[in-house]
Amino acid sequence: MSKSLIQSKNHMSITEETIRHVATLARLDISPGEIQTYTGQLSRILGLMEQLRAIPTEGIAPMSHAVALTLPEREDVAVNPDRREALLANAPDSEEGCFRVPKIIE
Amino acid sequence: MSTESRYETVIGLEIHTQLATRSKIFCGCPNRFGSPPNTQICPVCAAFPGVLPVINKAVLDMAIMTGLALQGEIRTLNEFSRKNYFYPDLPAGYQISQFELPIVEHGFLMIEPEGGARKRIGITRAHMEVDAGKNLHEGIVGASWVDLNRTGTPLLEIVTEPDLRSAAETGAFLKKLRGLVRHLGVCDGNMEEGSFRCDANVSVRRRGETRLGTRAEIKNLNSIRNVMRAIDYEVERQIDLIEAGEKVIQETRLWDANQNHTRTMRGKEEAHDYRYFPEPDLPPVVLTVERIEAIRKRMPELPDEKLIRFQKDYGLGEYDAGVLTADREMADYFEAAVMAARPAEAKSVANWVTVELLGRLNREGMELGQSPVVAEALGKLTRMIHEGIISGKIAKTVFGHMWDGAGDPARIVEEKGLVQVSDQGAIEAEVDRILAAHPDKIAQYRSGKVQLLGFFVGEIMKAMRGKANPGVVNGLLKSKLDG
Amino acid sequence: MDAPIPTLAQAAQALAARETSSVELTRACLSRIERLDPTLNAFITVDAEGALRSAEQADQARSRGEGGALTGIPLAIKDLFCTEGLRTTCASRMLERFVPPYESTVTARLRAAGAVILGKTNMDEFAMGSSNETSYFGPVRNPWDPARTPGGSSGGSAAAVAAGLCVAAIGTDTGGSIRQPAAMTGITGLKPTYGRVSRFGMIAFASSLDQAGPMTRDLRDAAMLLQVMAGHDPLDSTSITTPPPDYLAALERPVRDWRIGLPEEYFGAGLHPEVRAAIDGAIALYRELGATIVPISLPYTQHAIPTYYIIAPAEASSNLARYDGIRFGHRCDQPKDLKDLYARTRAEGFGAEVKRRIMLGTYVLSSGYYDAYYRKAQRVRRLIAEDFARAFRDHDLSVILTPTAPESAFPLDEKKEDPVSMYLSDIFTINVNLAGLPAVSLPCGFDFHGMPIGFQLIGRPLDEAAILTAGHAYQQASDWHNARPGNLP
Ligand SMILES: [Zn+2]
Repeated sequence: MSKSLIQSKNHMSITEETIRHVATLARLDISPGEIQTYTGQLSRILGLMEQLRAIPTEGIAPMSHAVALTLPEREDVAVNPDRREALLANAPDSEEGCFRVPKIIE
Repeated sequence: MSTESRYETVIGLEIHTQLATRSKIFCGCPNRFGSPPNTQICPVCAAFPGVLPVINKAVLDMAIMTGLALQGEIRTLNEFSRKNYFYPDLPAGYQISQFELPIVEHGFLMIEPEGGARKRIGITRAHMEVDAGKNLHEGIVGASWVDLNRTGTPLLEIVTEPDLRSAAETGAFLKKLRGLVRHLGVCDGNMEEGSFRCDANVSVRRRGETRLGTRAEIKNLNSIRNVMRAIDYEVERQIDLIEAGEKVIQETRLWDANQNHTRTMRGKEEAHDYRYFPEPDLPPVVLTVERIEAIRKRMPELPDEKLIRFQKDYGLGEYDAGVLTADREMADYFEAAVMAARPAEAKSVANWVTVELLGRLNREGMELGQSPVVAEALGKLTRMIHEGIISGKIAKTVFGHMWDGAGDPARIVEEKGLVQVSDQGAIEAEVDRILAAHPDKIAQYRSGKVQLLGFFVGEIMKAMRGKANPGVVNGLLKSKLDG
Repeated sequence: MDAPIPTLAQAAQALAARETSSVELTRACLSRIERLDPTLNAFITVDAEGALRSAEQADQARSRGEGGALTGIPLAIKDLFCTEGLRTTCASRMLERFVPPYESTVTARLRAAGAVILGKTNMDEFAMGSSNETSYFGPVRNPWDPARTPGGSSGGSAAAVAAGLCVAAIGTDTGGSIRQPAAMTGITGLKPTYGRVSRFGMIAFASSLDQAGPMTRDLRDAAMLLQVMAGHDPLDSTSITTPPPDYLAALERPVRDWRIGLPEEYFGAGLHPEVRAAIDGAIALYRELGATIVPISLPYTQHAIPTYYIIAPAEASSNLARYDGIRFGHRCDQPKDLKDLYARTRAEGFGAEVKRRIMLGTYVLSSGYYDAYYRKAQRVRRLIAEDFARAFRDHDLSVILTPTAPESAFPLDEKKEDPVSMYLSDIFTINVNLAGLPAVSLPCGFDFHGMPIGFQLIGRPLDEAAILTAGHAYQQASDWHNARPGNLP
């Protein structure tokens, strides 16, 4: 997207609107004061990252794993017994063997 | 030109097939439908802190097999990614899925829509992912409940090219695909229980236009019939919008089968940004060519291959072969019946299966698996006709007894004294008796009313309670009347 | 003043010789915790009852002639290893009352080897921090000077070992979280090769970087713990299958003729002169031991900080999505709808640094920025890893020697409000995580304030044996690791 290129030209400055959008994506309730703080801090942190842009990385495969392994597989065996009680024990709110949440509207 | 015919419908599908493994995709919980809420979950599938996924081998095998059956390319290097979004039925806050490197790409499936020509429907990709849990709303006041039993069920999401042009084609495609996954044994295809789910991307455009129109993604389609109804509704809605000078907006819509319409889906996350990235907890999937070929070898014969073989080996017509290969259970039933009969009798076995058996099942509203008449018995029955032990007519009576649970046809025939009489002498005596009783009819016949032959046959059959060999009866009658 | 807490090797020997009992040793630790921890705040949860029960069982086992190297040894565990039935908080309000119904592989292996778990140690919240100040349960204080940080994020484990509140401890290291606090508290901290120790049940910060390791008084103790912790785990798909070698045997090898690499990039302007001087002393000692010092270059080192601070927060933003107030953990009061449940629960449950990293990670993964940040960082990560591989290969090195941290323990609050300068303090350790290599920090001197200084030995992939050998040779020839904080109450 061109948006990132435009922003990076004159140092990485993040807008408060971007911060609000990111907070929505991350499901974090943030106060107007925090929006300001994050805008400043994230801009400075992203400023640190600007130096990467100059590194030529064409043809370099992205590295997702620290060690080159291939996926191990397990046999298709069903083992787990019913542990409902133990797994509901930490729930802040539960009812009838289910986790309870505010009404979901679809 | 009607309004509808000035538009072309374009449909692409995303089909979520639940793979019929014993355990879930990334943990050992049973993969089973219908247990009490949250009784088949563990810290892994319920995404407790610090847990890690370990893939089920069978999921990879089933994905490979389905990919091969869809004539797709199997990527020997593929990877899992995380798709990030928040929803109560997604406990980790991300779905482990495949994004940039799916296991299957570039496949296709041939369809035979009713009254249309065979058509190739492209399969863009198929990828493995985890199913979500269930949010329960009905009858709960002021809250929703979360049941995570389904969380972690392995899914193979099959994505088609936008190659479908009508509800009918879509229906034909879904029937074909469902038959295929059932045939392979990778999915039970049960749409009501949600093990075979379909989302449809529907758009319309003026005929001649090459660009795609704005699409709506339709969800909550729990039967092929509903998919077809929803498409019809949606096409009409979009055309009406365009005709009224309005715009179709890209959105997710829910099909409401009771109201017979689609409606905008509310409540889902307004910002769609899934932030895919490679799953750091799972190294890349590396498949060997040997493994893929071994799966190809043990794969059951595909319906399309079977269709051709049935025509060639059994001399069946395309229609019969099509009916008999529509699903694996049917094809297996037919072939077991042929085994009990003789290959030369395959055509008549096919007749018995498609006409008598399916007709009866349909009338009774039953599935093939519930049939009281097993394949071997039906094959034996056919064989008895060909060996002249019973007539086709008697066979229908015997079939009736078999249906009612009497079992082995030979025993029924023996117990009920239904063995066909082929003995020339016994039949001739009866022929002579009937002819002697109807001298007037003989005269009429000889003066040209040849259709009276049927009358004589009927009388003889009646007298012999249907057991006379019709060939012998015919031969004797003819020689006596004409000779 | 009670008797000093022995090293693991000493304790194991004393237990085997029946000169002491596990109950006695455990009581000694618990009494020191009781006396010193109000000052240090190294523990979030002390499980005195459970520890004494395990100690009794260990003593019984020993009296039956059973038990192994760890039977009856009291350990402290960083509070991000899930312990069945024992609260596991990750130093977060989010998990303040979380009691796992399952056990991490690391603690299960330690328990199976007979270890006694004293309790769960304080840390930076979700292991995000370099000073232990982000803990919901308050900062840990450095036993050498309670006004200073013990480093982070495994600051509680480091302080507990340094102050003798336990025989040894377990930490985790995502960007230096074992090695940096080890350096700042004068102990030995080892981060194994990524995948050498199972991550199952270890609460994730950044999945492709996290690795658990021992925090001990010396290399021998580290080898003894690593021997139990290391090994393949079918529950962790990133776990390495190669069986671990005999680490204790590795200790006894000489380093004569070993080639030790010295990367020039680690000795630049940012390095505090007193740290530099202490490291020079360590280098000189290796020369005396007959090793050859080889100047090398790791040119991509300078890009490690931005690379790490893209990759780690990105993974964290996803890993921490499961804290939604539904199945476990904090939930806000009276959520009015689903959005409110998520947003307020997470805003209340997470501290400022965790939120900052979630925001950062969400941003770098979001549509339009992924290629510029995340994918770019992943490519640079490969260059950083290749840097090391090339250096080891081209110079035929056994280990690489660097400072662990650019400076010694800094005063609490000094960097608290400045995330960027805090992030820069990880500069010498995070490359190792990005490359997945094993590394150890061990003490090599003190600064003007009497604060410990550490240096780092980095090995080839899966060559923990080499850093154990080199580190042990150094500790055999020096005394820094025996120094104990003297002014504890
Ligand atoms: Zn499970």
